[in-house]
Amino acid sequence: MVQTEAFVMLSAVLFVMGTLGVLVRRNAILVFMSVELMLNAANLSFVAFAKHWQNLDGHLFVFFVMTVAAAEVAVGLALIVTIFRSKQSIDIDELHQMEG
Amino acid sequence: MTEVYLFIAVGTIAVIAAMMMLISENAVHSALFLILNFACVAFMYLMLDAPFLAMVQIAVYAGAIMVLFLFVIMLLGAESSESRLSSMKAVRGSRLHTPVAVLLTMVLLLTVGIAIAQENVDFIESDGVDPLVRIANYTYLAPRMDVLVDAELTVQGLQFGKSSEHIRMTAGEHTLTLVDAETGELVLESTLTLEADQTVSALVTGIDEATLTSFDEDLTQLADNQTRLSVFNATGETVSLQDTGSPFGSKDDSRILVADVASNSISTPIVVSSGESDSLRFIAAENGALGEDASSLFNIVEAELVRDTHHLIVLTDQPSASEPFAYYLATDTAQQFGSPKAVGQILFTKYLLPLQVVGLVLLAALVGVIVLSQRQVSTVEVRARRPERRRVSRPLTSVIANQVEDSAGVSGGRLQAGEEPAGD
Repeated sequence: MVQTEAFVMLSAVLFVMGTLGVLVRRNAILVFMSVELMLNAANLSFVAFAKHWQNLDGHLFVFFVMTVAAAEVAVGLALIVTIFRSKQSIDIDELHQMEG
Repeated sequence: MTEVYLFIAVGTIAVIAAMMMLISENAVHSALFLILNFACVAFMYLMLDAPFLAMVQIAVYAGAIMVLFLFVIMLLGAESSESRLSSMKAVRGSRLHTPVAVLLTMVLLLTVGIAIAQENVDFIESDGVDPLVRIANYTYLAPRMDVLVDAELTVQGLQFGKSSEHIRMTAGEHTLTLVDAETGELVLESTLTLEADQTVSALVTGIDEATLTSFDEDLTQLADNQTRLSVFNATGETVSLQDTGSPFGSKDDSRILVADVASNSISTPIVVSSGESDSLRFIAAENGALGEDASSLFNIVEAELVRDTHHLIVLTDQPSASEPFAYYLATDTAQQFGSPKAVGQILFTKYLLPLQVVGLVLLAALVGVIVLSQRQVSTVEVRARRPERRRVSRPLTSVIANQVEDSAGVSGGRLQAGEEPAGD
């Protein structure tokens, strides 16, 4: 029987790695993937606490987070493609000007 | 211990995959490492009794979302754009946030580490789920009954032979007051002691004097084609339950399902195969002797034992007739924690509104993506497309013109005008 806190620790480590990715990487797609990693880490602790308290609401939250993440990825990637078409680059350092 | 080893192994793989995702130069490799990480998280979900979410994780995250990522990476040819650009952009001052990020990470991990080392985080075991209680009315004193729990009206107009829903109560001692709904007369007052994780049924029985019997019920789910059956005996005699095979079967091919249930007690639940429309018979047995003199008390013809259902048969005396009567109380069994059934049930009851809102969000995202891609076509590629289309459509128009024996110029022009919206 693995304790709940082990899962929460793992989730914290994964979340921190996602944060690192968002801050360090400059490829917009990789930043996006790091955000997905952070969402997953949060989901993992949701499920761990759902098991701990034997409450199914946590599972439902994970379900909704997944759905919203799917929508977010669709819109975000469309944005990245549009930006790439107009600027020929997806380096986020070059996107400091809000111009079409 | 196996579970701990598995956790350590899979957790290590997850962390390493996340790390490789961060440091690999090639964006495709990053995406593949992220898929590995998602698979590890799905495995963790399985360990945490969430099989449904594990499958959704694989299908939606590792499947759909990551394929979308890979598709965009390859579409843009962005595999190594970072490494190509980093050589010329490295001089820029914005690289400052790398040490800042590392520092922040260290601070966060240190905080968590210190909190755990000092045991400031409460590692308490959950003290269980609040008990569930239902009250069933089998007393002839009150055909409709109001139930007050700790002087608070909880169940109103509970009819004879019916049971209330399961009510969530706190663990501890509660006072149950049962009142006749029509006359307002007090039927019974009794105390009920509850513990965590219990599912309690409280039966009110009796012809002249009401008695309350409460017992813990096992409502967990069984394997397919099985159902659980228990007998509550509210008569004065000791009874047994016999499976007679057919309504008119002889005693030879019958078997005893539940033997010797004492007066005012519940039998230990038995597991029988569901779906069979058996004929069950209650027999009174003196001191457990089931010989020829065991008298038949009551026959249940064609008892339907539905799967995923808990069956409670209550055998009570009747005030007017000499023969007792059996009442049948079927309850849905509790779904297994985290199973698709349980998640679906709560999704379509408690979370129906959020589900619809999420549907709207998805619709908005869909419209947004279409708008984004439309806009890009109209601004960037309009000029480049016109001559290309003419080149493509010319052979097609001449073929059609030959077929309809019309002049190529006229039909070609007409076809071009008709084709343009379809091309977009």
